[in-house]
Amino acid sequence: MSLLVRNEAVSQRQTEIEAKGSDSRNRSCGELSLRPRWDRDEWYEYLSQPGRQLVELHALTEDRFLSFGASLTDFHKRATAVSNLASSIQGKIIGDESSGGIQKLQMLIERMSIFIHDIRTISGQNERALFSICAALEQLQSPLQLFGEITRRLQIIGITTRIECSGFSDSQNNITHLSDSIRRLGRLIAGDMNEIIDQVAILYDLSKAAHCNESALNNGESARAMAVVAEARSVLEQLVTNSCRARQQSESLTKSSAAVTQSIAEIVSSIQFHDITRQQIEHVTESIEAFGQAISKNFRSGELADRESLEREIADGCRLQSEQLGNSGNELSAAVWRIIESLHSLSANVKNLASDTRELSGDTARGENNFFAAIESAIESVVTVLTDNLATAADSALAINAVVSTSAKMVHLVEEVEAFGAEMKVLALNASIESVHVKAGGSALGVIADSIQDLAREALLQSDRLSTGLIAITKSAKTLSGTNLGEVTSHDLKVATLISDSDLMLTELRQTNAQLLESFARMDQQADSLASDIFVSASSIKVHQEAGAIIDQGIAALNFIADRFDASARPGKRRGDTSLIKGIRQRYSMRSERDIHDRIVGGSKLLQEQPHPRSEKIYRDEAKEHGLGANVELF
Amino acid sequence: MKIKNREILHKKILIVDHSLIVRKMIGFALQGSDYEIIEAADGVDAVRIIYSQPIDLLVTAMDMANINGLELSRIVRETSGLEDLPIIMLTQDENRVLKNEARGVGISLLISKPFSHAQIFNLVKEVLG
Repeated sequence: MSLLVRNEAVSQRQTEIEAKGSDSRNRSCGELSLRPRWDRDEWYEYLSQPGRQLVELHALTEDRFLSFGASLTDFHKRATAVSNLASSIQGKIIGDESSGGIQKLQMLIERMSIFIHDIRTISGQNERALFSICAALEQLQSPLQLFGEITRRLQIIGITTRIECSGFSDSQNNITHLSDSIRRLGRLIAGDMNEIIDQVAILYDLSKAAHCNESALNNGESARAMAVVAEARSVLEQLVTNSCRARQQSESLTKSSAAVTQSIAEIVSSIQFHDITRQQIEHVTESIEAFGQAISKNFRSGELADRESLEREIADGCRLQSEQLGNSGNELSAAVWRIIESLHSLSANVKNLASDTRELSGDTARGENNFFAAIESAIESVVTVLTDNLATAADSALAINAVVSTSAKMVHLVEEVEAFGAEMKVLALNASIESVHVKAGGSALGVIADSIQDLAREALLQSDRLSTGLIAITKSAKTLSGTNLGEVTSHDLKVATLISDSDLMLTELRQTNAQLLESFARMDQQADSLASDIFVSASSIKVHQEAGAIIDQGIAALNFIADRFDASARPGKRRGDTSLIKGIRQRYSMRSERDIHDRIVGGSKLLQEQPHPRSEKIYRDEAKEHGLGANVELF
Repeated sequence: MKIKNREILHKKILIVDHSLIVRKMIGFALQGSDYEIIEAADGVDAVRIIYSQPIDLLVTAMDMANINGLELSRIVRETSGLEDLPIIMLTQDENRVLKNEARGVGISLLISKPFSHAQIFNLVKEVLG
């Protein structure tokens, strides 16, 4: 039978009993007294009604509390899972995997910074060396131009010698040979010089281009890469700060989730209030049964006077049990309300837990996205700069190698020019000798000889300048050439290692963070679902209302009996002293029951408590010393 | 007080209470602690269990039908081999006479309802060592 149907049946029965009681009372008027008279069946009906209701109440509350206990056990299990997830998240955040990952990233960024610094250093050195080579090559322009002048003057002197000495018949052959020699020498020097000029121009262009590349790399990409690495470092610092905050937040989540689990366990403990109420209700039921037995006994004896006294006694007892039942209902209702409030509070706490989890998850995801964007940009820039540096360094190495090899050739040409200078000195000597042989016009040859002598000195001076400049260029270029090629090879390896290391590291970090975010999502979902279920469970608790309705009916039934006999109760012996009432008091197991009893029927020391050699306080103190709680007595 | 220093693992605890809710609640408090929990709804059922298998701890309510907690404890104490079985008694009775009787029977601990799950867990741990 459903609760509703049963309640309706009880209400209907109540109406019938009240009607019957009214008839009985009316019938009794003028018969024995004003008091109503009930036959045995009527008594049975009246007394069994609250008894049946209390049985129903017990079944209802036990069923509801068991069902509720099962829900709480499920909540506890789920809260424990959330708590374990929170601990796992905390472990991941503060664990070696995470802190180790951050340390590795810090090292990676420092490595990138060092790479960029090294590249800038090397590129700077190359830039400066190539600048010096270009400057030195430019400085060769002056002696080369002067050599142009020397060769031009040699050609003029050669022609002049032939013209001026055409009349010297006795020395004609010698002077012609001298003239031819001077012109030939001029052509030879001019040939060498042209070759040197061409080579210098080529070297200058090559060196200038390499210098421009180095300069562009140094001031462009590597400078930008330096800025990007600095940004990555700053983002990493932010990540470390976020990580510290995440540690605190995850610690807080772990504590909150553990508190939730603890709260559920406490609520589970509170369902034992049902048992306290159950015992109180059992005491009421037992009292009603005792009334029934007393009535049966009285009917068997047939003593009407005794019955009147018994009816009054039962009226007192029903009034008393009505109070006890009311108190039980209030205690049950209060206990259920405490549970409902605790559950609502718990639901709010779990909701906050889910919200905090979501916030921390969002922060982590945002931090991760910012960090990965920055670190990937930094790595990309560094790799680009390193790769471009390789190409530039290779170009510079080529230019420098060309400088070294070409300079060596040019030095050889300059050495030839120096030999031509010595030859010019010989020609000048020959011209001097011829000027002595020819009498007329000898002075002209003397001037030519002096001019050749001057040019020879000038040629030697300029070739020396050329030689010195070329030796210096070759020397510095050779030094740079060795260093640069070594660095290029080393950087090549560094780029490969950096790319490989960073790929591995970022993959690991992404996996760790993906796991973390997945745990966050699970915890958020589980906590959110738990909060909703707890809320629904709290909102659907109606046992206090259902039990309250039954208790109210039981109280009404007890009060009905009491009212029928109490209204005309005559002064008699003290109510609390009757055997029936004494028996009821002896059934109590709770202080609240005894207090209500004494308040209703008058206090009496019906049950003499015997003192024990050791006081209760001593037992409780002993339990307290063991940390067992104030409600424990340790014997 | 009789507190035994035994291993916690696989200890058998008999919980006797008329209320299924109280038995479930105590079972909940002790879950995951490697104790084996056996339940009895009254003293008669408890005696049958005690005579049929070894028990390491008896947790019994005082107020029960047929054989109450005090009578059950007396039976245990009078049974050969169970003289030292630790007994925790659950009560909501403020009656000093009954409490004195409990002490006389040789109850280890008496705990008044309501109690917390942590409290019952700690008590069991304390008693079983």
